[in-house]
Amino acid sequence: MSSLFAGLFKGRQDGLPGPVKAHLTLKKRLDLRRPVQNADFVAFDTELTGLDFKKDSIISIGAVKLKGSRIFPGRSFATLVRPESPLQGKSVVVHEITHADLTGAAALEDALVDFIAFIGDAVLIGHFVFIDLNFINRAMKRLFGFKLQNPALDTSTLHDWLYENDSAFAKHHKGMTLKQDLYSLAQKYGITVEAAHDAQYDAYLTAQLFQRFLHFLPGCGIQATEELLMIGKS
Amino acid sequence: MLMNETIDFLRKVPPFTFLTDEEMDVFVQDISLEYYPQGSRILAQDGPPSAYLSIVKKGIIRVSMTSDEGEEIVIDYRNAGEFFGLLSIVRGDRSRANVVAVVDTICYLIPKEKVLALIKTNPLVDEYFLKSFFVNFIDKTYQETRSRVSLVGDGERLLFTTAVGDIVRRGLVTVGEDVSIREAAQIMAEEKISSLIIVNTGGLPVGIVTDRDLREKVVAQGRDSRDPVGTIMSSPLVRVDASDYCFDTLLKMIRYDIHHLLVIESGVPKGVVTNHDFMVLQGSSPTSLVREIEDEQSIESLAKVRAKMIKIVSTLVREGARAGSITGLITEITEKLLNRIVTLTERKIGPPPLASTWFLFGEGGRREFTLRPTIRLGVVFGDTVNAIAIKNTERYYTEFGIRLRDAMTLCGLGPVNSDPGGILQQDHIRSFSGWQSLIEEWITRPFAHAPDEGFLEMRTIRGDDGHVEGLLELFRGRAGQQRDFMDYVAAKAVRNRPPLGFLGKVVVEKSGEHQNELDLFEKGIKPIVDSIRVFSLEKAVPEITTLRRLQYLKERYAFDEAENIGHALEYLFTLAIHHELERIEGGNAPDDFINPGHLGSLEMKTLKESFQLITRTYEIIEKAYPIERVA
Repeated sequence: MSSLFAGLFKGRQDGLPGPVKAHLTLKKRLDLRRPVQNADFVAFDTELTGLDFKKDSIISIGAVKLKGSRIFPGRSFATLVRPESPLQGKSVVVHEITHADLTGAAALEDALVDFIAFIGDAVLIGHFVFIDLNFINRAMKRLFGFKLQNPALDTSTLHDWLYENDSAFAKHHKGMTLKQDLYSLAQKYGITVEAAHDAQYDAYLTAQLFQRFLHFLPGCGIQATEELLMIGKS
Repeated sequence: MLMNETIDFLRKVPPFTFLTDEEMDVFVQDISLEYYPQGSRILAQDGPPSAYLSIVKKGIIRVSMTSDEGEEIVIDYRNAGEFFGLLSIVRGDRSRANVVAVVDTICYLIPKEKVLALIKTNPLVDEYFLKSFFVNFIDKTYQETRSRVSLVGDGERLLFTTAVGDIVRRGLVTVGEDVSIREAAQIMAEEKISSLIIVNTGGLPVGIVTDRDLREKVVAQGRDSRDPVGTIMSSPLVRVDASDYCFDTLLKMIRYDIHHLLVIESGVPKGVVTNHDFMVLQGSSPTSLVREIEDEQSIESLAKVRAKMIKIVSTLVREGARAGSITGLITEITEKLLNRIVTLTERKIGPPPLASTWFLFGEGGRREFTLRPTIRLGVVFGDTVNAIAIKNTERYYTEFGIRLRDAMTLCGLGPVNSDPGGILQQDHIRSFSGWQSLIEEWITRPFAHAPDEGFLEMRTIRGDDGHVEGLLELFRGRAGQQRDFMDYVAAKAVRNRPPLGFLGKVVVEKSGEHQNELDLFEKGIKPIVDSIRVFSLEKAVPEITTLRRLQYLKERYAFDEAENIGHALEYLFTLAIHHELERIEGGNAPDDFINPGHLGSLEMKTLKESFQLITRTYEIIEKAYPIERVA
């Protein structure tokens, strides 16, 4: 981070919670040359009151850790968030979270601090991750003055890329799928889909999708984490 | 919470069922889930040891070993809830086996250190893993499996699969050291045993006296029979553990040049095992069966061979022997039986007027007999200008054919109703030149003569003057170059369609005796055998066994599908033999009609894939040959 940037936020940084302060220097620590199989990942998902990031807000965050393609169900994260915008009937049907459920939920700021502490320096994995990042980053900027520093990777982009670049992948998984949503993909790749729409469970589904895709990377010449991250950028 | 899924799962898998809630909460933190796409190799034999104990969550893995001869032997398939990698983490040196994902598989991985720590801190877990001889047992099984392939040939495999504790027949007879030699000898005579275990005043075994000791140390040396037996006993005692395999025990006997060993079970002497016990054990081994066949003096007494053969096959199937080995063994025994019947018949009716060679063709030639063999024999006799000798020889073998059919029927291996042709048909008794001209006819005008392509798999079983090899060479050499003949063989092969219907559904018989069933041989095995024959003929493959033909095609011509087709064929053979055994055990005549509805999902999947593979193989043939010629 440039000293100019650090200077700008100096005043605010002093008052930041520990994990958030540590988070600011993440990019200095990050070693993206590590082989993908040894890299730390966190698959995550958020649930929202709606998709308009100007009006809607986060109501839950779920996440699970991975080391390479290994998922650690015992190292997972889930929190409900007190929404800053009203719950809408439409989305309540989807995530089944009601007002009553949210009475004891954490304040957004506390939830974010816990989330930042949980993810550490891991590379983030999400399905259509930009949506979740938009919401988290808007809150982050407002509350702490900066965005999430972790690199992030989108499983739907990774899926498309593998399809175009790896015939072994296309062959193994027989045929293209039209629907790109998490559940359709999960079903296509033989992932058991049980509970409905809970952020942690969706993060777990995302982790499993990522896990399946990772096995095809060495065949595509991808070994280092930075090479993997290039996929999201192309 | 996500981790609950893991905890719930582990709670059902021993020894993790023994963990306290507190232990489980800590334990689950370090457990990860890994995914292995179908076909991926998880561990390699003699490769680095596993860093994890893996438990299958979903899917199936195959544990196999590569034998010293380079053959891959399947040891086990593991399903959800079963684990692998234990031995390599406990021993920490190397992986004992190959582990491959049969389908897309998900496993829970528990780091090695966590497992070792758990064994140290939780006595119940320790007991489960170690005190139950678990590790030892697996190691033994692996050793035994490794040497399996060469041993099936030697026929002594029961020695490698039977624990010595299982053949110790009677309780231990012991005497004190101070008992006189005479008394000891009397006890041995009364008990009809050839050895006595000598115990000290504390009741612990210290030595053994055998009939050999009585002969060599007492009788031969003129020792006083009132001397205490302790003076002639052999000591220290050589002992074996009841869980040791008979083979290890036999090795010990050879090493120490002794015939009696004390068997210890859980620290307590169980009995004495002698070399005689091993001979009894081998009574049900393939080699002893072959020996028995060769010793029988009448056709009637050969009737029991089939039952013994079935018993051996059943043992082999249970122990997961490869289908190729089993069909090879059945062929071997059947061949010996045929040979013995021919010998005994010749004794009755005299030798043939002209020297001749017997050969098997078709199934038997390919060494692909199952428990429902279609036995086809042919005879080649030497050429002569003496027309009377030829006539007499033909008459001689025609009669022989009838006797042979009756004998085989007596042995339970005769031709069945659906196969009225007999074992040795009149048309298959010919002089060398007679065969030559027949083959020539077949090759040049196949569509007119409709030859049996099983003759492309002729194999001598009796008499050896090179006639059969000569005919086979002629047949193979000419056939591959004759477009007409190749068209004929190809067209005939693909005529028999695999039973796959709309949307890949397996088609079964709609009505009749075998409603809802399908003929595995006709619809699965035969199509593969027939297609591979086409390729083999085209490439002049010198092998006649289908699996070997596939191996050759793969090695020489990089035929991609060879390996998969080989797996499919072995699978179909295994399924067929399994079914035949079930039929026989249920008191029915063996057949190959299975009801796919009774198969497990993995079996069903493999069956379907096998049929799909046949369809793809047919497509290759149909592209290369004008198949519409045989309609």
